[in-house]
Amino acid sequence: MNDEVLLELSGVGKRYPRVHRRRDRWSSILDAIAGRPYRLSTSVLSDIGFTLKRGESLGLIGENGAGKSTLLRMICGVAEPSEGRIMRRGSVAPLLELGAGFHPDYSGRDNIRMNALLLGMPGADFEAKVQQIIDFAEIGAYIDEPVKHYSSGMKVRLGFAVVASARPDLLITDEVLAVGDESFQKKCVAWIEGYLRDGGTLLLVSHGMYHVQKLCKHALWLNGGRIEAYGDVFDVTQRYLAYQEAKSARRRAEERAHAQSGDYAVASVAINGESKDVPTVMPMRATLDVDATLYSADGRAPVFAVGIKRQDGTPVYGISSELDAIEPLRQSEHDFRFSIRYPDLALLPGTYTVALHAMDPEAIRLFDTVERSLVVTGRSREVGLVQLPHRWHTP
Amino acid sequence: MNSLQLALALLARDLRERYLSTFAGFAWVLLTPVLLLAIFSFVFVQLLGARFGSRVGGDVIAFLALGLWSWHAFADAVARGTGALAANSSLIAQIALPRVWLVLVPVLGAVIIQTVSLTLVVVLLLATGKATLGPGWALALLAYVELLGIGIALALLLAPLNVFFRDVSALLPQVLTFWMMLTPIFFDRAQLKPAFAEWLLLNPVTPLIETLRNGILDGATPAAPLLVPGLVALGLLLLAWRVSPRFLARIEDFL
Repeated sequence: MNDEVLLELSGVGKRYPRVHRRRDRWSSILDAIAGRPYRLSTSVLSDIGFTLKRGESLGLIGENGAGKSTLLRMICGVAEPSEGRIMRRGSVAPLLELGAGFHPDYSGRDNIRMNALLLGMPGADFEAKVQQIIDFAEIGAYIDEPVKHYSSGMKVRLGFAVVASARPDLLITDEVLAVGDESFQKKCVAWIEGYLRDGGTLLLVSHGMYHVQKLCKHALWLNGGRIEAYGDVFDVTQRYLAYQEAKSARRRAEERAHAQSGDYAVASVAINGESKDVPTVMPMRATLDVDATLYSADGRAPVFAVGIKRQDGTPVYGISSELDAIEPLRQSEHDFRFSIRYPDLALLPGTYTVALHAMDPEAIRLFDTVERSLVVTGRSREVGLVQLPHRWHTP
Repeated sequence: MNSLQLALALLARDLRERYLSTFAGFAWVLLTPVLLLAIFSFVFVQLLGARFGSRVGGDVIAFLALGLWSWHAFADAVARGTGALAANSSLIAQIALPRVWLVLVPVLGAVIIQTVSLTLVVVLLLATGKATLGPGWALALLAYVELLGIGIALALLLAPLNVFFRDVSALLPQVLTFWMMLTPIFFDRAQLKPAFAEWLLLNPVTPLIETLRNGILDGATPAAPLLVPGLVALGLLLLAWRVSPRFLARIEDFL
C-alpha cells in the first residue's frame, strides 16, 4: 500500500434549497443563477472531512436521513457541495443505483457499452471485456434482448458486472449488497474482497454492520449530517450499535410507560431468574422457569399468555393463564405475578424466542408484548423443533 | 478524450432513438422531405393555386420548402434541447457526466437530421432548376449558421429553466408555432402592408429565413441584413455560456 490519497474531503457541507412554496422556489433559482449560496435552505451535511488513501476501505454508517447518500452523491460528482472542498484522484466508479442509465429499448450489449462510457471507461479497453461482463452477470443469450425484458435482478447483475470489469481506483457503493438474490450478493462480496486484496479502494455505505466489518478497515458514522465517530471499523461500529441499542431500549421503555399508563402491561420478566434482556442459555432437557409481573390499571386480574417460537417466527408452543384457568398472585393493587415452569424442556438445540403477553381479563385483546431470546444447547442430530416421545418396535 | 467519446455515443444513440422501432428506419430522413413536398404541391399548387409575388407552381413549393426546412432545423433543436435535462433527470441524479452534453446531444441530433433533409431539398431544387447557384449561397450558409446559433443558445438557456419550471416545455410548442407565424415562411413579406412588413424585421429569424431562401433560389445577395441576427445569436450564446454552467452545476438540487 502506498500513501497516495485518492479522496480528500475538508469542511464539506451541503444545503438544499427550499423549493416547495412558489416564492421560495423563485428565490432559490435566482440564487442558483447568480451563483451565490441559497438564502432559504436546509442543511443536510456539515463539516465533513476525511481522507481515503489507495488500498483503504471505509464504511459509511448511520441511520436513514443521516446524509450518507448525499455525501456519496457529492463524492461521485453528482451533487455540488455547498461549502468545503472535495479532491478526487484516479478513476471512480459509483455503484449508486445499479443499471442507472440503462435504456429499456436497447439490448443488454448496447447498454453495457453505453454504461461503460457513462462510467468513463475507454471504449477500446472495454470491447475486450464484454464477454467477461456477460459471464459475470450470468445473462447468457439474453444479452441481445432489450433490457425492458430483463428481470430487476438481471439488470442489477449487469450493472454490477460493468463496474466490476472497470476495476476502478476507487469503488463507491450505496447499499448495493442489499439488492439481488443471495447467491449473487455472495458473488459481489467475493468480488469486492478480491478487489480489496488486489489493492483496490472502497467506500461502502451499508446498514448491515456485518458487511461493513467484513469489507472495511475504517468506518465513519454520520449522525444528523455530522461526523459522530471516525476510526477503526470495530470501534465505530460497536459505538454505533451501542447507540442503536440504547435508543431502542429507550423507545421500549417509553412504550412500556405508555402502556402502563393505559390498561394492561408486562411490568417485569425473569427467565430462569434473569431479569435483564440477555439471551437465556440452557442445555436441552433442562428446566425453564418464566416469571412475569403484569400491571393492571383497573386492578382486575389480567390474562398472561406465553409462547415459544423459532427465530423465524414459527410458533412451537403457546399457553395462557385463561386456558389453564390459573389465578395470578396479587402483589399489590395493580400488580399480578405469574409463574410457569417447563420441566424437561424438549426443544432441540437452537435459538428461540420466548414471547410474554399481557391481555385483558376477558382474554380478547392483547395489550403488551415482551420478548426474550432463548438458546438451547446440546449435541443432537435430530431434526425439527422438539423431541417427541417415541419408541421403536424391534423384532 | 473520454468525454468526447461519451458525447459521440450519446449522439449515436439519440439518432438511433428517433427511428428505433420504425420500419423504414433512417430512410425517414429522406422520406419525410419527399412526402412533405408532395403534399405541398398537392395542397398549395393544385388545390389553392397559391402564388407568392411572381412565383407560381413549382416556384411556390421551392419557396415554402426552403423556409420550412430551415425553420424545422431551428425549432426542432430548441424543442429537443429544452426537454433534454428534465427527460434525463434520473441519469443526472445518478451519474456524473458533463451535463451540457445532455442538452447539446439532442440539439446536435436535430441539427444533423434537419440539415441532411434541407440539403436533400436543396439538391432536389437544384436538379429541377428551381435553385440557382451564385454568391447568395455563401450568405445563405451564414444565415443558416446564425439561425442554428440562436437555436442552440435558446436550448442551453431553456433546458435548465425547464427543470425549475416544467411550464417551459408545456408552453414551448405554442410559442414556437406563434413565432413561426410571425416568420415569413408561408407568406412573402413583400405582399404585406409595409408597416407590418417592417415590424416583422424585429423578429431576428425573419432576415435569416429570407436571406437563406432568396440566396439559394436566386443565387443573388439579398438586402436582408445579417448583422443584427448575428449579434443576437452571439449575445444569446455568450449569455448561455455564462449562465448555463451555474445552472447546470446546481441542477441536482432542484430535481
